[in-house]
Amino acid sequence: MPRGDLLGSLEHIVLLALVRLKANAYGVTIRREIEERTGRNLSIGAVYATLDRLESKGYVSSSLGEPTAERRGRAKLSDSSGLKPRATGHSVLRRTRFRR
Amino acid sequence: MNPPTPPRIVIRLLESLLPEEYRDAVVGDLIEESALRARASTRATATWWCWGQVARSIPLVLGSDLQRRHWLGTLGVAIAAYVAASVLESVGVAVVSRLLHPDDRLTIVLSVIVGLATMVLGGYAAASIRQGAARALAGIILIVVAVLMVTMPDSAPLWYGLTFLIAGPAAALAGGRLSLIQRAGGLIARRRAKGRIMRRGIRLAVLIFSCGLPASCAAPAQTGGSMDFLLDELVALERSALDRWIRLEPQGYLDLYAPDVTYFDVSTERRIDSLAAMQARLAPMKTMKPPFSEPRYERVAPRVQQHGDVALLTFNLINYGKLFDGVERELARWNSTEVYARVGNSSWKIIHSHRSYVQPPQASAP
Repeated sequence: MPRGDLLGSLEHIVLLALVRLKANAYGVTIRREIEERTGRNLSIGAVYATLDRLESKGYVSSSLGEPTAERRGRAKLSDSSGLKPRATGHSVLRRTRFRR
Repeated sequence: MNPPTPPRIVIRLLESLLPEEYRDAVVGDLIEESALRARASTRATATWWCWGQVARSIPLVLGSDLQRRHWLGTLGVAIAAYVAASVLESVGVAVVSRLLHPDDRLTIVLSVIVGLATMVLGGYAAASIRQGAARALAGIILIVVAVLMVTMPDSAPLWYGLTFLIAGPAAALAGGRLSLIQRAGGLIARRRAKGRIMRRGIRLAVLIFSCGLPASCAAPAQTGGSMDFLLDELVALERSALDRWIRLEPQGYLDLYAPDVTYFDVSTERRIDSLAAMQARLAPMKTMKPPFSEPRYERVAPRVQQHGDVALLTFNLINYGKLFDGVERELARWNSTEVYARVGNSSWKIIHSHRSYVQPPQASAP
């Protein structure tokens, strides 16, 4: 795996949140999921910057959802399914080895 | 009762600073979560949270955007613009000091004006050369002024430093915005100068886009009473439909049309009546292969006029895309008129849409 494809800790956390949230993964739900699970209070910008990196590394794809009244527009939905399915496992393994 | 929303200045700040790709998502998240927080605690807590998000999010998103967009080139343009603006400012201040007494209060005030004017020029020049460079310039100004204020606190009065800390970046951004407006306004001159490839690109774009460029919005309507709020709402919905449209997905607009929608554009000889007719007209789009890649657009000077349950949204639209040679070009310009009405359960629906293609003026007869 190219070095640039390895995930950082925040990228791991966001990716795991995407896996849990499945089709309902967008900024608000991702932030809430991470806050509930890890106690980390990420900013909206941190979530999108991380999603952007994940997308450029090929772990995540994004699409626009339907417009809703709550947000006066469309949410940018993120999806981790179907792309590099073994990537997370690889990356976790590399991190584990590194720490040993 | 109106849903709690973030302060207008927060939304304006994000909309003016964030790149197009992030704008809807970040602003939408802020609106949605701020409403949740206001309901769970107080409006003041939600407002405070919003400001915190702005402070934390903008640097991260801008940094991420720079990385994506060949940041080195953008940064280079911004630094060059900063150096040029600084030289210009030094010359201007020297002239002012020579004309007036250096310790005169008027001299200091004029120096501030000269400084801010050069930053406007810097932002204008940077944005003219490279998209996003005006934002990078604003960041550079912010950092330089902050560093100077901390390291050399006695070199200038506090008000002087604070003025440049706040108004400096704003001036650079305003210059960038001016560049955008100028580009929109200088249509005729540029169009005359375009070559054969450009004309071909325009023809291709017209072929695709005149298939029925619509416009509309049909999400559940907000209850905000002010024009600004309505403009934000309609523009956000319009943007979400256009984002799909430029990728040849007409469904965004079809979802927003009223059942009795009427439609005109440059290629329609007769008015198109009803949603069903529009669906039939736009159906071939789904199978079209665009003659350009990486499409994007700019919407210029949107305005809304509301009369009762009817709102008129007008704006100019500029389409861009990369042609076969891989160079991004302006493909087409449109004058856009959308008439919205509250129908059914108070949703805004488009009841009429009209797009006219901006043509270069015909040569006048001798």
